[in-house]
Amino acid sequence: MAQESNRPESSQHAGSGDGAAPRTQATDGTGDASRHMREVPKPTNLVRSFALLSLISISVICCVAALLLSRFMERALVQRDAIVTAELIQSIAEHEEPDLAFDRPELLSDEEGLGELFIHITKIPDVLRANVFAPDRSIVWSNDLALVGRRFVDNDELEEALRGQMVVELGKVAKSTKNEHAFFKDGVTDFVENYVPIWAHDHSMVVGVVEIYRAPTALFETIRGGTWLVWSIALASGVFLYTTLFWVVHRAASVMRRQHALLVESETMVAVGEMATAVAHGIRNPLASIRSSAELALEEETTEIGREATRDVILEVDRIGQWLREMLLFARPERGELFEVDLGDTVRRSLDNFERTMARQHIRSQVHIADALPPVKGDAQLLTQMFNSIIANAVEAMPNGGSLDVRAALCREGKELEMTLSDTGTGIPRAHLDQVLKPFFTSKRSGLGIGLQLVKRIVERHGGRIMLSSVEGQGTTVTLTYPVPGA
Amino acid sequence: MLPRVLVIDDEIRLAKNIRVYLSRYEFDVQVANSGLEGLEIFAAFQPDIVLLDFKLPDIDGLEVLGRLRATGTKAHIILMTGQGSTEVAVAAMKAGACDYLSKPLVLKDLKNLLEALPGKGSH
Repeated sequence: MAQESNRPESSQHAGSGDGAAPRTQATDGTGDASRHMREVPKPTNLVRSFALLSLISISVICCVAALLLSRFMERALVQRDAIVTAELIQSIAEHEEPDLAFDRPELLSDEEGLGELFIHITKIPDVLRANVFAPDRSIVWSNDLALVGRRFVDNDELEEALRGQMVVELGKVAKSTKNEHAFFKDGVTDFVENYVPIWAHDHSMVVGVVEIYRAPTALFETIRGGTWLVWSIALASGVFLYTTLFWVVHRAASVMRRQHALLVESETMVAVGEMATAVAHGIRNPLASIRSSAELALEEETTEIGREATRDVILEVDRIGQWLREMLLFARPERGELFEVDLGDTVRRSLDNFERTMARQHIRSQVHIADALPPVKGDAQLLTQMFNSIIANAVEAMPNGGSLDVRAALCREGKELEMTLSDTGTGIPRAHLDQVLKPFFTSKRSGLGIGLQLVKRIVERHGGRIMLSSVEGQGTTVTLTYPVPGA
Repeated sequence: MLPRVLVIDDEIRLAKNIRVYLSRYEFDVQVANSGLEGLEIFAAFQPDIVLLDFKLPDIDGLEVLGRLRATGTKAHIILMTGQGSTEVAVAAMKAGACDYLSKPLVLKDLKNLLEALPGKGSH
């Protein structure tokens, strides 16, 4: 006897020891999980740093591209214009036997011959100034007579032109430091300086250099227009690129956020499931002992009070057993196969189960289900469980009578099936409304708080949505929306 | 001759209650509180029915089930478990159990089940 009474005690100790060990493990587990979560960068931060980095790089790329393009365009246009001018001068000069003319400077001022060429040059549009240099770097002709006879020995462009190269320089009046630039009219800001070598008749040597200053307003207008176009295109494509990329990343981030939340939820559900399974099994064994003891006692008990008390023990044990079954169902992994289920039939069957309880509590039920509702894809057992939970909650909320109204109809052009279950019970306090669909929330003293969360899980497992609305003291309405297969 | 029932369960009180209850309804019941003890008693007692718990302190119920079946016995073996999962039920059936009960079990249902077994007490 003594041995027998000791054994359960020691096993109880072992039991509590077992219970303590998983608890520490569980704490470590959550610690690991939160640490792991902290290492993952938040999508919001990713979006922010992407927004900044891409803004900087796209701006830099667009600016550099626009700058290079407009520079290239300006150079190419000016160069082209200069070549045309140079070819014009060269072809006129070749007619006038330039070798002879440069040898006899007195001919240069003549209205005939080479002198005539220079007059032509000054008549080329936009020409502001024309100077003609002899190979000794002295000006032998100019449309500014004051310059004739002066020598320029430190002019690099002139040296290059004397070596046979055509030289084009773009300049601005204000920045010019050259002493020969003192002749621009007011309002002229940009000019082109062009050195054109004049070749001897047989192309053997450079006999002179024509220097012209031009302010080709049409050319500059074209360049300004082109530059404006290049920068506008760069800006527009930069904005377009940035917006597109940002939109894509923003979308990706919100997808990541959703998946992250789902991941955390499913991890939590796995942990909760394991815990629930362990707890359920731990409780079921002693519960079996209690129930069997009570059943034996019921057969031996002779007094009515004793019999009733024993029956109560059995009833309460069965209630815990029912909760455990529900908890295990809740923790059950998802099953793949779904069948066509008629929601109307299912809810009617569930209501039948509560018929006696509802009659006892003076609860009237009204069912308005539209004819020929299409079936939904689902697990009949789970859906029954779901309706049982919702109806049980409604019945519990109406201890002093009321009415339970069940309606089902198609909505959204037959794409969805909407079912509402409204009671006239005590309602859910506003502060609890958001909480009741979360796992293990309960405001009732009895119960594990699984009911509504289980309902939500079942609804979501079937691709549906659940909405709760409640006014304290007036009642609660549960709205379930299911997609209609094939609609 | 009364049908012989062997209960193998480490839940001492449950096993005792099953013994007391079934004895009343004309079953000859013996109890073992571990898998090995159960195998020993089985060899000596030669029961017609075995009520076997899935979770035992030494060797688990499925293992005991396998070893019992290996003896070539024709006894009805019923697995009892606190684990509500269908996997355990399927595994038990595959291993040769004739039925599966989940705890907390109802003694009356258990008795009805045993009485309905074919060939009960034919040994």
